[in-house]
Amino acid sequence: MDIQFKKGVIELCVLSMLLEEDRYGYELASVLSKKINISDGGIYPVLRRLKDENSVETYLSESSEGPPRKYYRLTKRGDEQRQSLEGDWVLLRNGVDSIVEGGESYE
Amino acid sequence: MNKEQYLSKLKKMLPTDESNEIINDFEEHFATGMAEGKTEQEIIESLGDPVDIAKEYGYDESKDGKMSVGSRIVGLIGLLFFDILIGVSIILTLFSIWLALWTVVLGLVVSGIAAILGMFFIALPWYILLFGGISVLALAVLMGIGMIYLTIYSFKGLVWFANLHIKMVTGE
Repeated sequence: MDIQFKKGVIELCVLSMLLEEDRYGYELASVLSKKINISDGGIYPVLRRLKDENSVETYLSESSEGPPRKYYRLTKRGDEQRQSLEGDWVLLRNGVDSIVEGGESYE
Repeated sequence: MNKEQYLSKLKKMLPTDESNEIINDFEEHFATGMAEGKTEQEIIESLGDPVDIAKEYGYDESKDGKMSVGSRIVGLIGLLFFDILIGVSIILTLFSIWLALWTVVLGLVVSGIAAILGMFFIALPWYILLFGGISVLALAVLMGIGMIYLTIYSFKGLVWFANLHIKMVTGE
């Protein structure tokens, strides 16, 4: 898959998952690697970029097992970005679907 | 590759001002995975190639660690000049000294043994020959140990020097 395209998709997935609740890196990585075929390690650069863009913010929280975890929380800016990415995604998906499944007229 | 090796490999390719924070994230990833019962190997496998991850953080493979063709050619010519003008004579000199020192060790061993055996043949008090011989052998052992170290380090130096040439050719 094209790298830039994949980045956008991963960003959309991360932001959407954070819409439900705050999550930590490992959690995001394991869900994403299970659902869409990416390696766990690819998630952290995306998280860092989202943080640099102020789309997410982080805080540390104690966990029952192991060291404290870094949690990611969606910001207002992040939610706007999510909506815009989702819009792009829906357009793209519908367009692709209509071509792949329609077959006859492309008007 | 274990966790430490994986993280240090990754760290080397990260921008220095951010590397600690990024490595912390990965430490946390390992800790969480292991708390879930995964092994270091399984976690490393699912994380993927550190080079790919580093690239996402802006690491540029082509810029890093590789020398340009121009500087490699200049470096190689410089090295060859050094080799011809002084490198070869230095190596030959050092090799002769090394050979001479080993010969001395051999000489000490032979004369020590000869002195001890001489107890039966030479008209000198036996204790002089015995203790003299033992002292000489002890000296030979000491010097031999020293020479073994010297040999190891000279060999390493030689390998390093030879690697310089390879580095110029491959550019790594």
